[in-house]
Amino acid sequence: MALSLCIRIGACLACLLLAVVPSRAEDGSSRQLFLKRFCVECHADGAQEGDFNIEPLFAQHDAVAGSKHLMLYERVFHQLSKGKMPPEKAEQPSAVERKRIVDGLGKVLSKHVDSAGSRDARPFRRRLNRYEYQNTLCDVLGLSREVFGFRPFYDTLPEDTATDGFDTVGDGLAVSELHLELFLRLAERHLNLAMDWGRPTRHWRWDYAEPGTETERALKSKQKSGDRLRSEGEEPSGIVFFDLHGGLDNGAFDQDFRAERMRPDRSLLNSKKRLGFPIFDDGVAVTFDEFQVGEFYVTQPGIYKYRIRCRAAVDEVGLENPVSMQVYVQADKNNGELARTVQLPSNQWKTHELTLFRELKEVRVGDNSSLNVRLRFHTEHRYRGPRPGQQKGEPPPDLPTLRDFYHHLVEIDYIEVEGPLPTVQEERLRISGILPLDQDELTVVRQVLTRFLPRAFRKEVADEKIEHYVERFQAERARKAPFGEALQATLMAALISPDFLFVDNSPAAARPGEILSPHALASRLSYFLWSSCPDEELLQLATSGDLNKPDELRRQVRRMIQDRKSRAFAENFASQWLHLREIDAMDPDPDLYKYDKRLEDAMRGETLTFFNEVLRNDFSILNFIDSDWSMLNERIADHYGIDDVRGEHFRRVKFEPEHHRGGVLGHASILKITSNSTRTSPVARGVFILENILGDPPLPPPDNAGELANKVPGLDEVTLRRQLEIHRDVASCARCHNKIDPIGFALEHYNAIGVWREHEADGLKKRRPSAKIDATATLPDGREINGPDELRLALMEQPDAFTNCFVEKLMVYALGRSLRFQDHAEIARLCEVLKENDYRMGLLIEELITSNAFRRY
Amino acid sequence: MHKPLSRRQMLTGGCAALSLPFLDAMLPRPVMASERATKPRMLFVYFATGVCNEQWYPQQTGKDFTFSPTLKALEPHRDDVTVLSGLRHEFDFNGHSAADTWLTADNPAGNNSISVDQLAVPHLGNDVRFPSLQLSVNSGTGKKRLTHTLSFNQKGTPIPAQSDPRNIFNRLFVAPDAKSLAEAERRLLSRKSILDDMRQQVSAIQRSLGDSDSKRLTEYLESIREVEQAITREEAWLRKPKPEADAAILESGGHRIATKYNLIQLALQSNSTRIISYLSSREITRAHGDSHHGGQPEKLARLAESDRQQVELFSTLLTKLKDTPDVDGNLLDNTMIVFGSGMNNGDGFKNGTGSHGVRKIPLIFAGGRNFGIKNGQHLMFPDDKTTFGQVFVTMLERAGLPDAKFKQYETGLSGLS
Repeated sequence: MALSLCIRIGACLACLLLAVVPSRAEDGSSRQLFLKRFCVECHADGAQEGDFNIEPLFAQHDAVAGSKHLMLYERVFHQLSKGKMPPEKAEQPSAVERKRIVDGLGKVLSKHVDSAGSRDARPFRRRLNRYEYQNTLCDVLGLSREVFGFRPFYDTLPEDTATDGFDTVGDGLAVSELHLELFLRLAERHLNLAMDWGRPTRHWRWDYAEPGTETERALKSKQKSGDRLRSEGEEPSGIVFFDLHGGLDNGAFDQDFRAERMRPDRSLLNSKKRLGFPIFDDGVAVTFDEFQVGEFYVTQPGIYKYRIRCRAAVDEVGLENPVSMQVYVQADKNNGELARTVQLPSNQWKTHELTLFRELKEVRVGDNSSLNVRLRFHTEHRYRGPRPGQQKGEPPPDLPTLRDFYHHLVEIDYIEVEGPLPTVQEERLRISGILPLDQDELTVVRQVLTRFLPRAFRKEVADEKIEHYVERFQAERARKAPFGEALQATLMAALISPDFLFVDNSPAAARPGEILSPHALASRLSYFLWSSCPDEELLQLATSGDLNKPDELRRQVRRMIQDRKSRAFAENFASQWLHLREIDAMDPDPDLYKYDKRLEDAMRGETLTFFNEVLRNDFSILNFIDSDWSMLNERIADHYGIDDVRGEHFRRVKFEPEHHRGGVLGHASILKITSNSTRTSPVARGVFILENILGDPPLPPPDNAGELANKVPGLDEVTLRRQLEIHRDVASCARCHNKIDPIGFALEHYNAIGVWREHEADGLKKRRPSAKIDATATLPDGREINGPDELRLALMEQPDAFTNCFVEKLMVYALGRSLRFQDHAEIARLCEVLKENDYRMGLLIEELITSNAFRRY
Repeated sequence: MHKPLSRRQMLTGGCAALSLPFLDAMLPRPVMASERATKPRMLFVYFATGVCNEQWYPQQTGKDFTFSPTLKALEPHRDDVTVLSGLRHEFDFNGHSAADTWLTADNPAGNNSISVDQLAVPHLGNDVRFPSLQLSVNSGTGKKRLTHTLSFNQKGTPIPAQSDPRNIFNRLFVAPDAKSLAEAERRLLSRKSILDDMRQQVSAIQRSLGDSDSKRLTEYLESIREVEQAITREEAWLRKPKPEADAAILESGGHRIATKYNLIQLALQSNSTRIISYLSSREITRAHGDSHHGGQPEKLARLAESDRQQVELFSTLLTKLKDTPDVDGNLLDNTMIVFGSGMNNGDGFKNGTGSHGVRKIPLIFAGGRNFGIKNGQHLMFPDDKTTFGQVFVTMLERAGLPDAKFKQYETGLSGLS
């Protein structure tokens, strides 16, 4: 107390001093006076609000000598320049005072950054994160990501820590014994796949009589008589039809549905209700049949080619519902895994060819490793639930009965399986391609390494290093390892070496501010846009030096964006920017929401493909805050109440005003992520907007914030808005929540899974009447809005905050380091360029890549 | 202290040793019967989404308490269990992320740090085949705040868990054949030499670098050393016979948790490991919906029913451990067990409307009699201040760790020992 009094007196003195010499230029001592006057109460003397303490700044007179001080000054600068500090209720500096200190600090910071370089980006290495590691392994070894993609190996690596929101930032990417062990294991596994020693390829085929009209006729006559078409134990006839394995798309109803489909009068459906919901809303009835053939023995993991000739047949009524074929791969008799889904065109014979990777699970005691083909044919029947006025729980008139499904059938001509085929498709990349040996084995190994190491290390590799690995090989041979094993061990050493594991900035010669070597630039570029290593073309351009020419660089960027591999950019950047990786963190309460895995995938898919669409077409980044379109597939369009979108693929769909959609804040994914399992969370939504759209993240709650419910009895009885008002009466909460909560309410018209609503009917509805949604909200700048449509308009009116936020996030992700003071000038420049060029995303990326921040240390 | 010398230490340490390339001191310490008596086992079992409070918490505290409806199945083990009520971890957070920090007591908002089981590994895990085991309902590591494992290493990196009972069984009890043994040996040797090579490469780079980079490379070097140690351990155990066990236990459990408990009992009995963490259920399940019960009776009833089932299974495990003779009594007396959840989904000790807080979490302590654990009581800490971390201190201290502390916690839980 006494201390703080002293400081107050000091502050008054400082105030006097400032008043006496107002014209004095900003220098070290006046800066200290400012800090003492406005900051010390909360940030010095043992106090460190927001985990921030400025005491070191007073410790020595020339406070800008060390980089630690500069870092503190940088944060002070940031707070003051954005007007975030001092807090509202505290004494405020005048506009002149604020400008003087901000300008002064800016000068100090930029001066020291430029000359001494202590705060400049220095050369650094960062470990590949798990996605990059996986992708690089595949690309270096020539293993196709598409083929292996259905079982991501990175699931076996622990998730990496994100710093400043992204797992590309080197600071968070630790190395521990666990990582090393797992890297060893993964490298071994991939090498096993890539080092293909020419396994014998086998061929299996199952033929069925070409189903002719006779079969069809027989089938239809049976159908009319209502007989079962296939009895237990009968040989598969090559005809697949849809029988009683039906279910609705909400698995919870499955049991009732299955039982009830058996009854002609469907009486059970009339009597059941679930917690106030009608049993049937609009929905999809799914029926399927399975087809399983053969047992074939797979002794080697590898690539297998499946060919299936079949057609989905049309009957007189006409085939309305598309039929899809799901191909399962099976590790053993009981465990199958869905590998692919293929849409069957109606009434056309077609040979479907699939390339699948088959892997043997760990061989189990007493198991044989027989595998078989399992196909599941699948059709959906959409129906409409009871309309208003109809009795609740009444079965929808459109709900199919038992017999309806025989209208669909699939005929199979033959099934072929061939394999294992070479895992590495591209000749050029095959490690064992130049074998068997007709030359001296060291010559062969030297050849392999000369091709392999530059690719793996993403740079030119000196002869000594190649010789080093040749010696490794010799050491293995000396230990009596067979040729293949010795070569594999040698390559494995390369794959866990720092040259491979770390994105490297040629440390020997690099100085802060110096331009990156072309190879380092190629790596930075490819890890940014592809989350993987540079390809042949990039490496060649690096070697020739052409990559450093701005025009060539831009051409490469455009090429890379159009390449399939740029999907990794959406997958990794957009997923982290918009927190999409958290979408499966919590399942909505099944009693309250109709939610399933397919919807979850569609939600994620919408946002990712939306991002990709903007990227590939060089659209404006403002589409992220407002757009009259999105990328929808059937499931998500359904969810939004938009008809006539059919099939699993995502396509551009235009919104009408009555859909109330547009921008990512209208995406169900984002709305779901920012909700609890029983209700929406305006707080989480407010934080999301501040953090990811406006770039103004609030501080994390204090460690012991506790549960509000425990402090305020009867909290459940009131509306959510009222609950949060009560919450803001708690002083320690109000400081941040005054800013967070109001903006979150703008999205209250979307429920916890992103469906439009007019009433708050979530979670606690049983204890209070369902209130009409009140979506009035206040933006941080004080503008009043009502609902998401006005929020979008308001954001579009002043897009600078968003632009700045987006560019900052992109920079962090691209550079793989936390931002520094000098980066902000670059960000400001990029924002200007955007503004003058219709906010085009492709252009932004080109500008970023050709910027100093990206091309220098 | 007896610390195994690595071969490398020998080679680089002095040339006198070169003539004796393989000393007994380099082998992990052999297991001696007399030692078993003095080293305890530790078991941590976590289940998700809390409990139906009013059915779980006993009404009375102290020695003369009556088992609550949910805990009834523990009645036969009265003298071997303690009900711990009111404990919390220090940091408030969403209860659904509680598994991440259940054994680390860290702040879920930040980066994680070492878990208590791993802290005990150097003391309890060096002379057994597996320094520790991680079992789970899902394999791997899961995601941040949605972990699949309870164990985290020194750097706060999650240690992947295993879920397939047969794989676990194979690892513990099935001996490799001669061919795969030879292969494994050659592989380990080759790995060792790869690592050795890397060490030289990194040291060379490190000398030419500034400080910011060398931090990562130092980590890398440390990691190499640790992996080498692990390989040395693996080599030493490779040809030692594995304990025998009947694979029938994989079928006999009925419930998937019961199967895991069978494996746990066998692993502890055979001294394959002394430390096991087991994440028995995760937060995203049907039960999750029930945990947001909002005070609704039918949901609370479902919760209570599944709690009862959990406790019954756990009680069966205790019976099994008790029926397993061990040095100075039975296996239960030599095993310190924590069983519980990381969330309170009621209001205090009442059901309330469901809060998902991380204060007053439901916990049961069991076993450990030979190490001075006092059981047969209901310990109540209503003040919201006493932490779960103190239980860890008690366990480490009872296990005989010198300087038994757990992060910021220095004192054990009063009344437990």
